[in-house]
Amino acid sequence: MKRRTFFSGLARVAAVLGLGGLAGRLARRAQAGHTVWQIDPWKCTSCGKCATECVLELSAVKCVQFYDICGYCDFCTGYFEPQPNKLNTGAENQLCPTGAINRKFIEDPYYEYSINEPLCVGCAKCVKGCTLFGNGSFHLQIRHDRCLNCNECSIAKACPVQAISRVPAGKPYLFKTLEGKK
Amino acid sequence: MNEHQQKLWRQVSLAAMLVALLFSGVLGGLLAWTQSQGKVAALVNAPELARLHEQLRKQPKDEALKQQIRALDLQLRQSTFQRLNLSHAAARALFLGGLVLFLIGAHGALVFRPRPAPKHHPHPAHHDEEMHMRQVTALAVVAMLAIIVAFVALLTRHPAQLPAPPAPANSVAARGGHPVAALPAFPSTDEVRKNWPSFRGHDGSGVNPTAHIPTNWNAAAGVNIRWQTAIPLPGLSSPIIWGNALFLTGADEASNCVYRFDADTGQLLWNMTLKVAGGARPAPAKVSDDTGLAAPTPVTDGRRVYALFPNGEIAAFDFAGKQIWARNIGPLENSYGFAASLALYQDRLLIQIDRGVVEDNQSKLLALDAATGKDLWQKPRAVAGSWSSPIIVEVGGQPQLLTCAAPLLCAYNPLDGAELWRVACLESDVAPSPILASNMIVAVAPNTALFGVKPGEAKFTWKAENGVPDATSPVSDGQRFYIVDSEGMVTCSDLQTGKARWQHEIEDHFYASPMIAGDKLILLSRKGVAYLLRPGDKFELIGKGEVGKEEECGACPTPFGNRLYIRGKLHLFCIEAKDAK
Amino acid sequence: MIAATINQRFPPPQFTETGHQMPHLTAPPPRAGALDYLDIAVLFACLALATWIVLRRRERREVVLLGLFSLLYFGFWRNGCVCAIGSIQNITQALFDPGYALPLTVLAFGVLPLVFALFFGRVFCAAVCPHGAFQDVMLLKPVQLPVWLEHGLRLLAYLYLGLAVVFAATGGGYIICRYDPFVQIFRLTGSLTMILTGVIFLLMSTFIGRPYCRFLCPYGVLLGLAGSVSRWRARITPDKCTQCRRCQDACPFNAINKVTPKALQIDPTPEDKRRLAIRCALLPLVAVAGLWLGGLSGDSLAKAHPTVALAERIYLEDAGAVTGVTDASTAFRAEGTAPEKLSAEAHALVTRYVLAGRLCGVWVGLVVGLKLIALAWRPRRLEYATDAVRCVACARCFDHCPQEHKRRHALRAAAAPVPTTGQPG
Repeated sequence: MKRRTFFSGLARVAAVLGLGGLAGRLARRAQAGHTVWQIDPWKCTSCGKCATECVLELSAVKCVQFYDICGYCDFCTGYFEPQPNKLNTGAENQLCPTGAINRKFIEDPYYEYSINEPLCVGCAKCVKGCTLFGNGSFHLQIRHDRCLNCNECSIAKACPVQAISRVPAGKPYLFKTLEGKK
Repeated sequence: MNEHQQKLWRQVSLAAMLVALLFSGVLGGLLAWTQSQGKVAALVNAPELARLHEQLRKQPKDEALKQQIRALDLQLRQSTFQRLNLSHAAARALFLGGLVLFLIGAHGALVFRPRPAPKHHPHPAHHDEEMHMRQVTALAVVAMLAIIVAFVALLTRHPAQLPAPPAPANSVAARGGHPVAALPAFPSTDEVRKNWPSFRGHDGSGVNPTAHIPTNWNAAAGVNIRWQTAIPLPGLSSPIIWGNALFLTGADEASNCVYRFDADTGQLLWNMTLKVAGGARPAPAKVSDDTGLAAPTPVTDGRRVYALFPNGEIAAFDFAGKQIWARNIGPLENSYGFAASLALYQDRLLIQIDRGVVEDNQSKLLALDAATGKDLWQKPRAVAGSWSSPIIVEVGGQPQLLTCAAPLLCAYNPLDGAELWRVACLESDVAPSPILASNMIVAVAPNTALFGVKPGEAKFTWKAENGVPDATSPVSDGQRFYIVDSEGMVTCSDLQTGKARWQHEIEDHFYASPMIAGDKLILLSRKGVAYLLRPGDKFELIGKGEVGKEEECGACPTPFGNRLYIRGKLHLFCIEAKDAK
Repeated sequence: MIAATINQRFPPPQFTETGHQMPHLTAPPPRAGALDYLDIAVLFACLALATWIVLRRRERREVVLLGLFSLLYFGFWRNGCVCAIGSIQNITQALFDPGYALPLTVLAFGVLPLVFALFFGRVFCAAVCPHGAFQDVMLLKPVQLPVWLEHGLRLLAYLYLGLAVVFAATGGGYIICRYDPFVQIFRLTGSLTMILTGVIFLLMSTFIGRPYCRFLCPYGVLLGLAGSVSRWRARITPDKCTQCRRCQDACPFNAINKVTPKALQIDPTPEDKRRLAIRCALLPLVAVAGLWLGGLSGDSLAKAHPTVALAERIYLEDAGAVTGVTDASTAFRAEGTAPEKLSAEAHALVTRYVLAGRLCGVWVGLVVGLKLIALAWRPRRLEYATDAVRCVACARCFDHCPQEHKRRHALRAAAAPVPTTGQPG
């Protein structure tokens, strides 16, 4: 029994040293600030998986409108169907399946488009339309008031282009900017 | 509590349990139903709606169709959101309501159950039951192993189907590094010039004529700072750049490290500790604070990066961070600690190792094969210890390696080490590196004199004694050259005559050599302040940038493209004008 | 370098007529970083409290209360993320991927419970882990599994740990998180399959004590190993065991070992020695078999990596073996990278997976081999005692030990003369 106590003591000391070494080595590289998931809008292909792969019923991913880039077009290719019947707010003309985009007249010929976030499901239809034919001011972002910050993001796992990665929590959004991608 | 009450409570508990079960069953069914409907897929990709839209395109005037689309759209949206809300509510009620009630009921029923009298357990029978059980257990473990093996066997029937692997030479490229096999053994002169492969640039001049950097920056306020990244270990080596790969070295007593950063984002892509196989690691070099444990700047040929450390360890890493070779060429120690940066010509690494006094015969020029690290040749040098870095320049179309150490300014053929010419003019502890501009070499005898030497001539053209620096190297705009000494005296002199044009004192301390980026002369002080001057015949301060005095800048900044990379004690900074495209 | 620029097809307007001000883009912040430190503090406090309760207070009721708190805090409030079980993967990734920055919280969650286990046994499992606490409160009518089944199923946990490390080290993802049965319940949302799995585990927990902890939990494996050399772990009674066997009947986890009957407290027989020798000889064989099989499976495991999966898809599409395209293959072709480069990358990854598979195979082989050796041993146990590896310090046995009852009685009697307020017996 004495021998067993001795050896288990030895093993314990070795384990504590090993753990300490490991923790020390990792802590040197570890970062104090935490990180959060975010979508790189430059990589995003608007595939639509954000709407369906999030663990939440209603995805934490929403479309955001970066007004500085927006052309305030009358015929907004993010708002309207490819061949709209008329440029009005009728459901038959809208691209958004949930009617989450508000269209407001500002001055001729400019209309302002804003996202009604509670309705947005993150399906990226408007993002696709705006990126392909417009200025690309609509883009998807993970909204941190909703995101649970899972250890492994299930959207990131399903993303076809690995556009979702962890970013420092101090800079939790990757908005498009006028200068383009840095 | 009497028996009656106990019975009553038990029944209440059982009832609660039953209610909870029923409740949970209903909610569970509801949850399963809502979940099975998918989240928003039915709404986002509604086929019926798509069909109606298609129809409307054919019959754009059909008002009834429009109404139909609107109605269906509303109905789909309502049902989807209702279902999502229902799902959320059901999950909440199931796991926070049903489950809790069930547990309370169940535990209540257990607490209030009639207590059976504790049974008496006889000792187990005296046959070898335990040993028997252990054998059964061993069998069970083996059976489980068999199940796992069967599972693995099933798994191996579905391997990843990939095209046949390419020739092994390409596998290095596959690791995300540069495609080594596809490239010639060494880069062309043009390629070298396009990059910033070594200390103070490819020719050691400290000049990048095409660089365009901002006139002000401030790390604390984030002004014109593209990124800043912490450097794991300190060192006085300068950043070198190939494409968007930025390399740096750092060291402490325990390890010598090479870092690759992404020049665009500042991300530390890899951090490799140099490991020389076999034998004990050489003891950390005895160095002074003026040189430190990572003074030599690394060098790269776009295939590999080569790094040398004062304890004699030298290694090559590929761009993916794999160590290609490593060896110990020590001892290198000299009075302040080894500091000469590496030079690279084509496929050979050139190392200026100057130690002791002339009579010691310890100084030499060593050439290694860049691909393997093996000795190619070495050349003894009759010089005293130096801290100056050799530079590779082109004179009349021929490459020359220029070295400075008391008493010689000496040029060699970088291919075979043959001595080309020498001028004996230097003295004392030579730390500044020479420069060549407009067919004039400027060499420094610290604290004593400056010499102008035309390459190939056996004597100096001029000697000057104005503002002679102790550690920093000169920089030239082609007509004039600029020096700054450690106490802040800036001197501009004529390159062809050595005569001083102007002098100006800056209240600061300098250790990094001056650099020229486009039309700006950069003087980076110990306090992290960069004084930007307009090169010319008068002192003209055009801007200032700061990275913070805690950075104690001592390494040469690297101007490249629209950016200036500054290595501080703690961070690596990338300076770029906010509006630069 | 500018990889992509904004397509300013339609220049943004100036609003000269109305002077309209563009609205601001809102950016709700994530959870404050300071709260991460709160999590570490709560973890440490819970571990310390659990240790004190298990080793000093010896009160099952308090263990349950602390467990409920952990279940609510780490489970339902923090949504089961960050968790010690999952931290294995983050730590592994940090070791193998120099570009990955490990959050300090995750490091603390990975290391603290192990350190406690090294000294005090698996107090983390007892009342700090929300997964354990959840299954523990669900346990109503424990059924004791036969010992052989216990050991057989426990092998799964070792395999699971090996696989989790393989995938985390090679970039194949975090399987512990993906197949965690309870995290979806903590979040009250998730995929139907995983919620159902969770419910099945909960239902099983009503009669099988802590099925996830015992047969799957990879962190439990590490804690068990740490617990096996612990200094002060839960003891059934601090006094002399009367060998009444009530504790063993009360333990739902097969974590209390039987006493060896007097007649069998003998030296190993020649047959025992021969068996031991055979098993020892078997150990390297099993390990080598593991190496071989693990290497074979590497090719299949590699499919978990997105790059390998994409390379396979592209190859199959090009070869005409599959019809249609996926989002990933479309995006890849749009990017214009050469398929050869992709497949070379995939091959390099497969090589890594083969190596990782081999190591994992050796690990499982060694576990089986060592287990067989341990089972060849003739035990000599003089009293009922908790098994250092399997005991989760739930404190159930204390309440069933007559010696413990006596001790508590004596304690109460000693305390009685002093009138106390609150805390009635």
